[in-house]
Amino acid sequence: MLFTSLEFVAFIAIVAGAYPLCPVAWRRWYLLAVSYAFYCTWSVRFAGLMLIATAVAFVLAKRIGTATSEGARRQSLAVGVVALLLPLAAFKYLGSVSGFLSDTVGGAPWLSRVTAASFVGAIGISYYTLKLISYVVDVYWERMAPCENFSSLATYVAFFPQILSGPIQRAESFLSQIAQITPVRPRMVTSGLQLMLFGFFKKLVVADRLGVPVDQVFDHPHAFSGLAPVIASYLFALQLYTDFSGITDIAIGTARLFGIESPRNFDSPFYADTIQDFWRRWHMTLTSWLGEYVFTPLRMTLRGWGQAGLIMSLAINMLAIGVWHGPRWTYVMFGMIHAGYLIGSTLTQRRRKKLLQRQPVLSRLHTIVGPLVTFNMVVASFVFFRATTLSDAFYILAQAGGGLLNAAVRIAHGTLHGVMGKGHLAWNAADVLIVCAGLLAMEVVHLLHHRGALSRVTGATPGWVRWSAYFALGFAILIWGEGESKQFIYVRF
Amino acid sequence: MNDAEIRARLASIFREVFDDESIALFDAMTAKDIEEWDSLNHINLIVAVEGSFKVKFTTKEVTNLANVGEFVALIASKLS
Repeated sequence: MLFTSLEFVAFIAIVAGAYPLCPVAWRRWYLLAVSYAFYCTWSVRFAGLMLIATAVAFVLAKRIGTATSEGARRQSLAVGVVALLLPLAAFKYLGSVSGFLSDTVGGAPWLSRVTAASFVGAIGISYYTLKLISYVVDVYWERMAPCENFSSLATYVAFFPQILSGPIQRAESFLSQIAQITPVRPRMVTSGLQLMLFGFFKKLVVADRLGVPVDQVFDHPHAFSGLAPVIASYLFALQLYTDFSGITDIAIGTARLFGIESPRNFDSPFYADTIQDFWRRWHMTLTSWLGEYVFTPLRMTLRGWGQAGLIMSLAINMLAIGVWHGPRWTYVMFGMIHAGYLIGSTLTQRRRKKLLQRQPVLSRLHTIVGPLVTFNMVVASFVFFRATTLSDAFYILAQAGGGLLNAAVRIAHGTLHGVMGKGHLAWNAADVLIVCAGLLAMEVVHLLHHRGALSRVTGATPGWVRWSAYFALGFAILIWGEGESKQFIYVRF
Repeated sequence: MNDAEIRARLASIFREVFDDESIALFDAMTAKDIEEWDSLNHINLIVAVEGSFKVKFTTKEVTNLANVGEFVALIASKLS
């Protein structure tokens, strides 16, 4: 069941509408039942796998909690992490590895077909595996006690608003909310509905419209030259952001209808003035997860190696971010590019800061140039994220570079003729206008949220203005929403 | 070394690591209070504290620190 489908709207209307009628003592079970019902609309078989993975984590976390020796605790942790990673490896990566082996050294092509087909059914496995691993590790690190109630842990893992693409909430944050379920405050329901509406707008009006020229260029890169690859590269960065932050808003908003607060996943990432700042603002729950459970243990282990330890920890962490998206060389490249960015940025951080402190003019300039440079670095890396193959990505970047140079030369000679190159982007003036207006509306809301002023501004706004804005968003979705909405990009991870 | 001395030396390490002379520590201070205090700089801070106080921390201790007050208490427990 897609978040953008009418079935989902009907599902939410029924399950959220019936929620207040459910006795408070039964609400945890209610959330568990509707979460598994939602998951079963994707796959009944893989609902069983999710239940087994939850049981494994529940039992092993209990063993860690009751073990008397450090050796036994560590053994349960190791068994838990390996057992939880195995299904993810089997369904997400084994197909590609066996396909690669059968292509190169011969083998069993059926295995790659079976595992690749299975991954389509194992929806959400990349997200709930991380949730379960962090739960077991948190118990091992004594950050929290093992969960006493299996149904609570199962609800945490399967919670349907977060199952398709996060945000990746930590166990303690979710379990503490579910342990004290109270009647949902009307204000929370209202803010949830507002956020859902905003998410649908981002996805259906902006992201899907941006996706049209992006798909054209990235699916057939050799049919385009000139400025088209440049435009498509920038549009994809905006598409990815609006698509992913759109589904996140729908997820956080839906969770609020049941009284559950979820963590933030984005904080105006394209205004980041350094690449480190970008990763503090982009896909925040994945970045902080990897920061705590991969980077920190690695960096602590390698801290005696000096700068080499730092470089290696960053490289492995960013490779993990790339590979988490899937077994493709383009994702590996995406991770390695960001590893390079981060290593360069980290090693020069102190010198850059001192230079900016000494030169006030440069410092003022940096407030504009910093975000621009960072945004362009991110756009270039996203070409690898979106391209089908590495050679497509290199071709698009080469064409983009040539296209920019060609445009500069032609403009210097006072002509725009031939600037766009070959190929025609399927976009008209109305599309450009709708996307620009949509992005402007979005960014006003995001900036108010970033500065912590959103609730103050909406609170001070007269009711008729707020309701006019909601109706405008609703009408925009009905009139300009792409008819055949595409799947959210991050659901396939 | 008493808590006040630990606090004073820790404050100078914070200022050195984050390259900011205006940092003033308080017990409830967390990573949210210093913009550049992310997982990367957290370990730089740990390495600097280990070197200055001649102590060693485990990953569990490092990840479980909730605020500066707990950091001071952890250093004090290592020194005693």
